[in-house]
Amino acid sequence: MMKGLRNYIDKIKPQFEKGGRFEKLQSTFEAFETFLFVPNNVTFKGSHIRDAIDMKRTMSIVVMALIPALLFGMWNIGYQHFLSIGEASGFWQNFWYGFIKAFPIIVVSYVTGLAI
Amino acid sequence: MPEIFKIKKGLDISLLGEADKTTREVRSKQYAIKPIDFVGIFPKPLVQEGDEVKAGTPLFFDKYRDNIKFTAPVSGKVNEIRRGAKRVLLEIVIDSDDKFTAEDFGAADPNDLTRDAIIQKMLDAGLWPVIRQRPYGIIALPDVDPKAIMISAFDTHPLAPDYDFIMDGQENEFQEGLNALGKLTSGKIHLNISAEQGTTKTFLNAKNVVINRFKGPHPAGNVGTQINALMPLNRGESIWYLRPQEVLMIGRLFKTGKYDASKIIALTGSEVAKPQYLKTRMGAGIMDMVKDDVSKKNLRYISGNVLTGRKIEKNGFLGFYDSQVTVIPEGDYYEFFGWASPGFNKFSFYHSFFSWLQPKRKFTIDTNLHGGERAFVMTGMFEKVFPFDIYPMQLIKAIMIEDIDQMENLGIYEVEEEDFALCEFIDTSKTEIQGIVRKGLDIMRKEMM
Repeated sequence: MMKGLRNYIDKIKPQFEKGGRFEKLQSTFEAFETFLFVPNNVTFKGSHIRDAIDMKRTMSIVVMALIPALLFGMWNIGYQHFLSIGEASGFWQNFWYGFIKAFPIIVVSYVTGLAI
Repeated sequence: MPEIFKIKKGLDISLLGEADKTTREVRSKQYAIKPIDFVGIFPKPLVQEGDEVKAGTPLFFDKYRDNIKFTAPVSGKVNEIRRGAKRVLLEIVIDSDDKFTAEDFGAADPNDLTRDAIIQKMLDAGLWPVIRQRPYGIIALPDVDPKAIMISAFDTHPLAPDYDFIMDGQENEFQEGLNALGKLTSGKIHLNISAEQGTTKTFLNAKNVVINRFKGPHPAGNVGTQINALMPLNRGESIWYLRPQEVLMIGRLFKTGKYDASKIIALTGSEVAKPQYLKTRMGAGIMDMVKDDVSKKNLRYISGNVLTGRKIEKNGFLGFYDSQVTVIPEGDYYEFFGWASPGFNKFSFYHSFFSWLQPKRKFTIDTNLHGGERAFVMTGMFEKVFPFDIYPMQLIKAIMIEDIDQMENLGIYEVEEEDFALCEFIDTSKTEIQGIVRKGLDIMRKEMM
């Protein structure tokens, strides 16, 4: 399955490079390609060996570390909202309200990040 | 009890393929001197293809410092003067006649010679290039009186040779070399040894030197780290440095009058069947060292160590300053979801992998970049492997924008590429840091000299 996937990506890759049909989406394509496969680049100058870490793994750990704060923040938006208008609310009501408010912001930031 | 300098920051990378403490002799069919091993020289050849040479015969010189000559390490015939793009001189290759006849420069006791006479003998024999200087890492300027001469007697790079093993039993030539060097500076010679391993009498009994003991992870063995701990460099000052085997070559020159380029190197790396020490000479072709000894995969041959060495082909040649050949696998493969896998077999400085839980384990690392090049991120990690009193990230950024005043203020005079090799190793953004530092040093050199 992995070989098939790799072959497929290699086949469509030229369309995303300079002169290809989808040249403008090159960074998005690269993001998805490196999501599936760590690239086969080898060291060329400088140190011949490199740490196994890469930016994706570091940022994934950052995202995982931020999830508890995010979940609390969503609940808190709802809690503060209902507190300010003087209505009583349950746990899931608070969370759902906060989720509706926060989710579009998260989507916009990720889409912008992938598109640039 | 002399003071022990503790280096607290750094990282020891333990790899498979350390050289066994056994030695065999290797006689290469070809030897080469490569001008690209020397920083900032413009080589002009003095020989042509087909010329007969002896050890010590000049092969080329530096156009802008024509007293600095580079001589043949062995006797034989010049096979090829290899040039690259834009006629850049890459290598002068000599077919060895296996006789090792040498030019005679006259044996003499350095204690009886003046400073200028010692320097002239070394220049004539082509031995002057073994002395380099900080700042810039260029071949030392003979007219300058350096603040001190540093000899780092231990090497903490991954799989580096053990100088205690190499230098054992060579006290006389080593002392002769030290006597010659002592006349070249009004300061002292500092011999820096490791406080953690047993040390040979060759170093412990050395006279007219100051012995300093260092303890800690790599880069404790780097001369830059040692200079920073002992006597930080200021603008206008310079310190000369060299390795123990280069001191031996100087000693042999004065004892016998001949240029003896013999060297013991370590053949190391996870892909070598029998890693061990080899008796060879400067500039030796590595084909005769590795031909049957390596695994059949796609391999990377490195003259030097994995952090600072130079990539060579299987029929390539040992670098002038290198005492090690490392052979590791090439990493040109795609890894499915590699960034997310637990990576139990991967080595990493970071705690998001698990190698930090196994400090005694030795790893096989290949040349895979493990990710694409990204923008700089201020992770604060460089400072953990950089023992200088310098801000590494800020210095790298100052070099990238070519701000000369800022580079000076941030301490560029003290560093060289090898001091940043660990920063480059752990960098998440996979930036070519050593290349950037070399560029910064070249800018400063052009500005100041």
